[in-house]
Amino acid sequence: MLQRIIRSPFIPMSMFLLIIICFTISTMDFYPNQSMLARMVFLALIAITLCWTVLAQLHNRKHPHDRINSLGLIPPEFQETDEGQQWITFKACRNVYVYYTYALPVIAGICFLFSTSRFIPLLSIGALGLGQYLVYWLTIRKLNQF
Amino acid sequence: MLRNRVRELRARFKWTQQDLADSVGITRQTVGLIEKGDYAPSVALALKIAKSFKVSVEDVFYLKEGKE
Repeated sequence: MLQRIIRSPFIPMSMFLLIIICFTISTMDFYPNQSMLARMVFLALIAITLCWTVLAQLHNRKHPHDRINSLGLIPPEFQETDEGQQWITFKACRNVYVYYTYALPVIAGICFLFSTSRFIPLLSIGALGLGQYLVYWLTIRKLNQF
Repeated sequence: MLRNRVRELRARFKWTQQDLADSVGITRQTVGLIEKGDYAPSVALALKIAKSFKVSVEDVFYLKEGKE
């Protein structure tokens, strides 16, 4: 259960979305409590990061053979325990690549059309990232169903 | 197309997916993927699975005519 939480793509997805929300709020000068709200979102991001790090340390103590390197370049949601899990990760990454092939031109078009807006490019990047994590998660979920 | 008798052999040995996974040194999810036919294991893994059932690789994995 602990491993499922730590390796879930929803953790990095929520961190990424909090970064996008924090930046978006920071650009909203017209909003009254803008800086306080941005700080609260940033604190939520730090809290999630700390919780995840503590859980990863607990997991590493329990499973020294299957350690999660919290400072490594490999995303923790990658499943590489054995060749079957590596194949699932390969399939998920392939689907994410296909998703980006179509999503990037669409997002580029949206950013061009709404180039005068400060929020649309940021929100577009948020939507792009959200899609990436969803495609990854859906592929993994589908292949792990038996 | 690669087919297998992993599920059948597992039932004969009264093993759960976890039992086979522990015996071979893989995850239960990988056993499920192989049984479903989604994933064609490497030669090394196929040999390990056959060894744990004490049969030859051909008794576990076989080719069936059709689209890949």
